[in-house]
Amino acid sequence: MEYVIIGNSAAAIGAVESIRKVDREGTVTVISSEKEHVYSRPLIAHLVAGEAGEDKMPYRQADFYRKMGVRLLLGHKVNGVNYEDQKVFINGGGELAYDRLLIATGSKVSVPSIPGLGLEGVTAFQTCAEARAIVEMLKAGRKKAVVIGAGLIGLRAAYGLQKGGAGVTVVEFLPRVLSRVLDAEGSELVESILKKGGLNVLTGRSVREITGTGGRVAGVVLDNGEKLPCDLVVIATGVAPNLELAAGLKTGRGIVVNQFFQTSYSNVYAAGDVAETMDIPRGVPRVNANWPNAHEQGRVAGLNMAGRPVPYKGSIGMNAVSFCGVPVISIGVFDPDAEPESGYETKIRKNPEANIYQKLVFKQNRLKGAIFIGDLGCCGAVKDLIESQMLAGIIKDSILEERYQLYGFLRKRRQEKLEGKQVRWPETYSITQKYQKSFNEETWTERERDQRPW
Amino acid sequence: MPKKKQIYARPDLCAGCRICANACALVHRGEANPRLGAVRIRQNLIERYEFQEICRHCEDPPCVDACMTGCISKDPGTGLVIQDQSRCAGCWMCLMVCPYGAVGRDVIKEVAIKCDRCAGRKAPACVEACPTGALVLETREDAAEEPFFAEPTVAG
Repeated sequence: MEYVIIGNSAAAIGAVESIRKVDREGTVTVISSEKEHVYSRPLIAHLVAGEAGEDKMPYRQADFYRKMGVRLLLGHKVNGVNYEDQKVFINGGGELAYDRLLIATGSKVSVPSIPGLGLEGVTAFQTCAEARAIVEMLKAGRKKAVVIGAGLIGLRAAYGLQKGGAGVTVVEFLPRVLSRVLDAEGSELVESILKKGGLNVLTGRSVREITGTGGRVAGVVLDNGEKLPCDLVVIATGVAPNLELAAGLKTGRGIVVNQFFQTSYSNVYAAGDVAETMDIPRGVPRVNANWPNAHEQGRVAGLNMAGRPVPYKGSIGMNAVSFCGVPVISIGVFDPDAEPESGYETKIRKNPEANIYQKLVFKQNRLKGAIFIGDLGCCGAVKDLIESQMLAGIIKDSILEERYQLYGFLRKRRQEKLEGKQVRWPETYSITQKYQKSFNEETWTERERDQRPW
Repeated sequence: MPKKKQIYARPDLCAGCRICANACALVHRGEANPRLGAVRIRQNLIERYEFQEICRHCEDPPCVDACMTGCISKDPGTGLVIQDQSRCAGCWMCLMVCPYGAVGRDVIKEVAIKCDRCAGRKAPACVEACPTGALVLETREDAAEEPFFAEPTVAG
C-alpha cells in the first residue's frame, strides 16, 4: 500500500502514527513545502519571545521519521494531483503514485490588498522560517512593530514581539479584539489586560498603506490619515483553508469530508485545518481549525486509510491561550449574538477586578459553548458536556459556582467518569469490498448526503 | 493483553484531607504544597462531598491530541500517559480537553501538572499516603461492571 501525505504538521503526524499502528509494511511518504522537521506551530510566538529555544520547537523527536519508516520529501511543493490516475505532481518534475492520499495542507494566510506588501520587513506569522526572520530582525535592532489584525495569531505575534523587546501597536479593523474567539464582554476584558501589559491596541482602525524608504518598511498609514512609524509589520488578518489542491474535490469553506474523512474520491482523505467536519454544538459542517482537532482528525483519518473504519464524532471549535498570565479558553458557541439561530441562553459569572469572566451558553438544555477567562473552573468537564451533547439542564445553575464539581452531574454519566470507562476502538477488520478507484458523477456526497449525520 | 494496574478513586471514602496531594508534590517537587500535586480534591463542606481528580491514563487520551508541544505522550509499553514538563509551554490546551479535570496548573512556573503514576516507585505516593483507602491501585477486569461506587451518603 502506498500512502502519500501532503502536509507535515499536526494532522499529518497523527496520520503517520496511526497508519503505523495498523500497517507496518506499506510505504508512507510525507511531502511538505517547508524544509523543517515537524515543529509546533503555535510555539513560534514563544520562539520570537525568546522563551522557547530551537530545542523546544520539534513536535516529535529527531528520529521520528526514521522510527516510523517515513519517506520524507521536504521542501517540495505539490503542483497538483490527478485524482483519476492517482498521481501527485511535485514541483520540479516528478510524480508519485498513491493508493491512499491524505490532504493535510492546513491553512494559508489571507493577505489583504494594501499597497506596500512587497517591502522588506513585512511578514506573515505562520511558519517557523517567518518567526526566525523576525528574531533576526529584532536582533538587528528593529524596535517598533505594527501587527495588523488582533485575532489569535496577531495577539500571539504581538506578545512574542513585545517579549522580544519591541514596542508593538496592534491595529484591528473590527471594533474589538479576538472577535472570532470571544464575545464582546470577554474581549473587552482581554483588551484591558493587554493594555495593562503595555500593548498598544487600536481597534476600529484599518491600515490604508504601508510606506517604505529604499524598499524597507518605514511606517504605516491608518485610514484616518494617522502615520505610525515602524520598521516591522506583521500581517495577521486571518487564515483560510488552503484549497490549492482541491480542484476536482467537493468543497465548502474547506474540503468536504464524510465521517471517515473521505472526500469525493474514496481513496483521497482530508484532515486538519483544511477539512470541513461536523461541528458538534451547531450540528452543521464547519472548519474548526485548531491543533487538538487537527491531530485527532489526522489520527482517525490515518486509521481509516489503513483499513480500519473508525467514524469521527465531529469537532468543536476551541482555543486556549494565555495573556500576561491570564488564561483564556473559549469552546464552541461562545457568542449567541453572532449565531444565525436564536434560542440561546447564557449564564455568566464575572469579577472584572480579579480578571475573571466565565460564561456558559445553553440551547434546549444542552451546553453549546463556554468562555473561561482567569478562572478555568471545570473547563475540561464542560468541554466533555459540550462534546457529548447530553442534557445538562438540571445543573445549569451549579456549573459556574465556585465549588461546582463532578458530583453535580447526572448519576450515570458521573459513574462512567468515576469508574474511568475508556473509549475503545472497534476490532480490526479489513475492508473486503473491492476498492473502487473513483465514483462516477453520483458520488457518495450526492448519494449519502441524506445519510450523513450532518 | 493483561490489564494494567490503575489508580481508582473511591470518593465515598475520601475525607478531603489532601494528604495525597501533599505526598505527590513532596515526591515530585520536593515541597508539600497540595496545589502542586497531580491529585486534586474538590470538596464541598456544606453538602459534604469530596472528589479526587486524578489522571486515568486513558487508552485514547485527549491530552495527547491537544498537546501542541508534543510533550505529552502515551508510552505503548507501560500504558502510562507521560508529560515531559521541561518542554511544556503552559498553553493549557490539555487542561481544556481533559474530561476528568486531571491536569493541574502550576501558575508560578506556567506549566501543566500531570500524574505519571510514580513511574520509578513501587507504589504511587498518593496511594501509599491515603489514610482512608480512598485511592487504590488495583487491576479490575471490567471497571464498568464492578459496583464500587456507592452513592454518597447524606451527612447527618
